[in-house]
Amino acid sequence: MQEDTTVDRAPHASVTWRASKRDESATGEVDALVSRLHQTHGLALVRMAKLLVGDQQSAEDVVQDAFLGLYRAMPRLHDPEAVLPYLRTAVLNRARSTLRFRRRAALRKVLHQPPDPSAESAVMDWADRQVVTAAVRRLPRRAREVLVLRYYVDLSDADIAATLGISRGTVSSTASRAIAALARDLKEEL
Amino acid sequence: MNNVETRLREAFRADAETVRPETIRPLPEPGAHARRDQLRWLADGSRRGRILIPLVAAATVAAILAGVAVAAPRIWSGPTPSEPVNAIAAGFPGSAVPKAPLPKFVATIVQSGTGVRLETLSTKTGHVIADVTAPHTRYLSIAADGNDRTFIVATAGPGCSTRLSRLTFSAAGRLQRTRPLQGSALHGHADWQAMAVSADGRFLAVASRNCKVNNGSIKHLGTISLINLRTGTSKGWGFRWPALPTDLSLSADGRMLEFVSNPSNGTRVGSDRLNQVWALRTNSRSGPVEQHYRSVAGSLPTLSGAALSPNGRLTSILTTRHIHKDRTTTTTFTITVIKTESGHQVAKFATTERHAPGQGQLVPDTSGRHVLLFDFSDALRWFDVVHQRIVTIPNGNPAIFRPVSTAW
Repeated sequence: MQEDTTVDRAPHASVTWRASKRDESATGEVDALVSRLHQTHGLALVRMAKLLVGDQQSAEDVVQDAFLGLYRAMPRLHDPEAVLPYLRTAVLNRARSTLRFRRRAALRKVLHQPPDPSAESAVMDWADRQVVTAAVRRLPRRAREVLVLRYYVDLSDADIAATLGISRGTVSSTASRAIAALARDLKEEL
Repeated sequence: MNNVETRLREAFRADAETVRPETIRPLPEPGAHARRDQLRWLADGSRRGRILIPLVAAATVAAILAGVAVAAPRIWSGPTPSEPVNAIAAGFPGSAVPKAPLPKFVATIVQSGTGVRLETLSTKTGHVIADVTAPHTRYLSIAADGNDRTFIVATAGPGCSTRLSRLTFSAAGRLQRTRPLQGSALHGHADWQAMAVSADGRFLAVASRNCKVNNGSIKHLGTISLINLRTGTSKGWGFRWPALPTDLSLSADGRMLEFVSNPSNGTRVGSDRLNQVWALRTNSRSGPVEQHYRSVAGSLPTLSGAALSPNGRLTSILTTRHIHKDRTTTTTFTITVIKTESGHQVAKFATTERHAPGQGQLVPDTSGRHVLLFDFSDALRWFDVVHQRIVTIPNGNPAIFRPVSTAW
């Protein structure tokens, strides 16, 4: 898998978006397209999902479900440019479901236990990152999503608004409030 | 950009980069439904689906509601002790399971007054087909090796070690060949029902326990080993007290291992009440198991056994509830099917038996269609995933039949 976190439109550009025949070769073409999308964007999406759900295994499951959902969603995706935003939204929705389930499980006193980081990675972790990550986890869900999309995926406010299905103004205000809350938590001055 | 934003970017980048490209699973093959959707997508232009699909969905919902109206009194009344078999069907996704034939025999390690025996039993009549016990052999555990005619059996070796052998049976259940697995001696003794082989016959998972626990090695109680049966290579995850992994099951491709155990946390308190179902990805690094496993369903006070579906997406959990009344014991076995990742319940089945004070365990066959349900003191039963019913194998006599490890 390529280590690429940038937005890349190339994978589906060479594939006819709407095939005209119901044949096996076209099906194979779709498989190849999805496979190329996974190769190009899979890593970045898993990393984004990890920031949202907290552990890699859940993040991989979230992203795999999103890609399998892509097969079902293809009839609705008329525009090739819509595929990556679709995948991002799908990952966000599935990450929410995972977190929602964990919350319900916690209410039932059935604790979800994400795998602990290995001793190796724990040694390599630096303290500041732990403090910042912990502070981000204390933020409301939408604030976390906005911060990840803005400061990790580097989306514009308009793209974040489209991905989350909220207005641009809400994105700006949520981000401002989240940064202010983080500054208070981290004892930083803005 | 202010200082908070800089620290935030740095933290996100560092956290995200702990996900290495080489550790990411490849995309799985899409299921049949996804392929149908692809084909529908490929058939350009038709919008009939937009009208037909809601109509069909509405008709299906109406049919389900009508069915529930008829079946509800039975379903909601729950299992009754008078019915020997009472499966509560609730939409188990049976269509995803192949309609494989029922295995003809069960290979079982049986404890009796004279020692431990290895036998094959007919799944139709329950009669012993063959007693294949080798002299001076202490059998520890058995698992089907990718099909219903070859099995891997663990026996106690010299000192505190476990030897593994492959047994080949005829279609009728008679032993044809025993062959030791090359380089397969393990440290520690395998526990009962603590082995699993992936359906592709490639990987063997074994939980073996250190024999010298009392000498103070609470930190190294034992090891879960994963052996590649084709290459002979292995890796392992150590577990600590009070973890005692049993009921191991592997997904068909060997990527996911599931087991029932107390948590491996080093506390000195051990109890069945702590038992949980744990999932471990077998591509995780060797090391302490607690750094890699994940609880699938949390603590269940009456958890008795669990099994992973062949594709790893579903987990069957067996719980048992005993009611003691008028000097008789009634046991209700409940199989709950949940999604392995999310824990969402998919289906629930129950059967109630009189005089069955047992702890059950689940052993799926290699197709995943039939799940053997056995306990240490009662008859064998199996659960038909496609037809959603529990069948009792006749002639299981609790006085003489005490299986400790069973596979089919």
